[in-house]
Amino acid sequence: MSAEWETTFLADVNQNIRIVHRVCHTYFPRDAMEREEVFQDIMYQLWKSYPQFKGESKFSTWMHKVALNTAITHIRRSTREPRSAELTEPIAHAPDMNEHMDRKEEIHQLYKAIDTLMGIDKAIILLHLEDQDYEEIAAITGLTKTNVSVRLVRIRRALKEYIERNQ
Amino acid sequence: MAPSNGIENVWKEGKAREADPAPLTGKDLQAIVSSRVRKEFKTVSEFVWAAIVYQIILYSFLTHTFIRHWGDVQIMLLCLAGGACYIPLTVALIRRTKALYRRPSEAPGSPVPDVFRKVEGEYARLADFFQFKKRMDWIGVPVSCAIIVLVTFTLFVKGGIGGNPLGGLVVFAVWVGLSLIAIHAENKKRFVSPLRQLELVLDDLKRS
Repeated sequence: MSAEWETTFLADVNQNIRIVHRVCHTYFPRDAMEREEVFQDIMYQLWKSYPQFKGESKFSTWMHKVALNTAITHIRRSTREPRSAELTEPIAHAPDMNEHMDRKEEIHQLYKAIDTLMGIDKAIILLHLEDQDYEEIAAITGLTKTNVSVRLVRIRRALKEYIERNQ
Repeated sequence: MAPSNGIENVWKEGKAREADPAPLTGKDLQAIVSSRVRKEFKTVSEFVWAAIVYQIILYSFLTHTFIRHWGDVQIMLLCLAGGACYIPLTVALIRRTKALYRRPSEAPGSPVPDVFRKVEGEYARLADFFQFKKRMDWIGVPVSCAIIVLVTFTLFVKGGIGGNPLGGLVVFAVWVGLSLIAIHAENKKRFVSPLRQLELVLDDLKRS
């Protein structure tokens, strides 16, 4: 790999590196080792696919697509603990210990709720929360804009119901 | 959390509080790429070796027996027939394995597929290979078991298969049965479960 190519790649990736962390935290909230494994897998896939990135979409959209493809593929391969396991590890983006406990609990509840969703629904809500519009979500997931919109309504309802039930 | 607060607000607050992640350095990248390349190679190698080692054992057995019993036409013909039956299966296995590990998205200039196409493509390749493997198992297992039983009985059992038809049949049936149990477990681990997972994802994507 040439130094110039590597520098450009690292600059682009580092500007958007939070995307990879959020995908990893959303899909693998329980196991730090698995998260690290997937993080490395995503970086490797990004590195391999980077020469094909033509700038036709935003870099962040392309990065989401690669990260989600890799995470979903990893879920398929994973034979680790069942989905019903309790989310005990500190969640992604958890606030500092001295922050207000109610808010901390809200964020924790939201992550627990998202963790109950199916793979593609997780991707949709993650992209929505990351301010991707319907068109971008549709381009990343391969669904139609109408499907995205319908599913998003259902996902939001499911999240709210989960949170209300567990308050 | 009061649902009326909106999940977006809670998410944004979580984002605002998160610490800056460490940037990826050139050294990190080199380490990741090196380890992934090794891992990919290892995974592919394990799979290919496991499939081919069995065939090497079979070919070795046939070759050894053929040379050792040079001049015994019946044994030599049995060995040749066994090899002739198995060579097409070996060639087909190598071709299909190559197709399974081909990565369409890596072709120069091809775009990164969306999630649906990626899953659909992966499902199609895996399902296609599984179909082939099932066909190969149905042909290959009885053929290889029959060859081994025939040769073993001819060489080591007085009267051969002709003198011990029931014994031969029992050994053949037990061998095929054990092979099928092993294959069933292998298929479940390597194909059935992964395909079911992919089906769930595909169904989920198709649902609207």
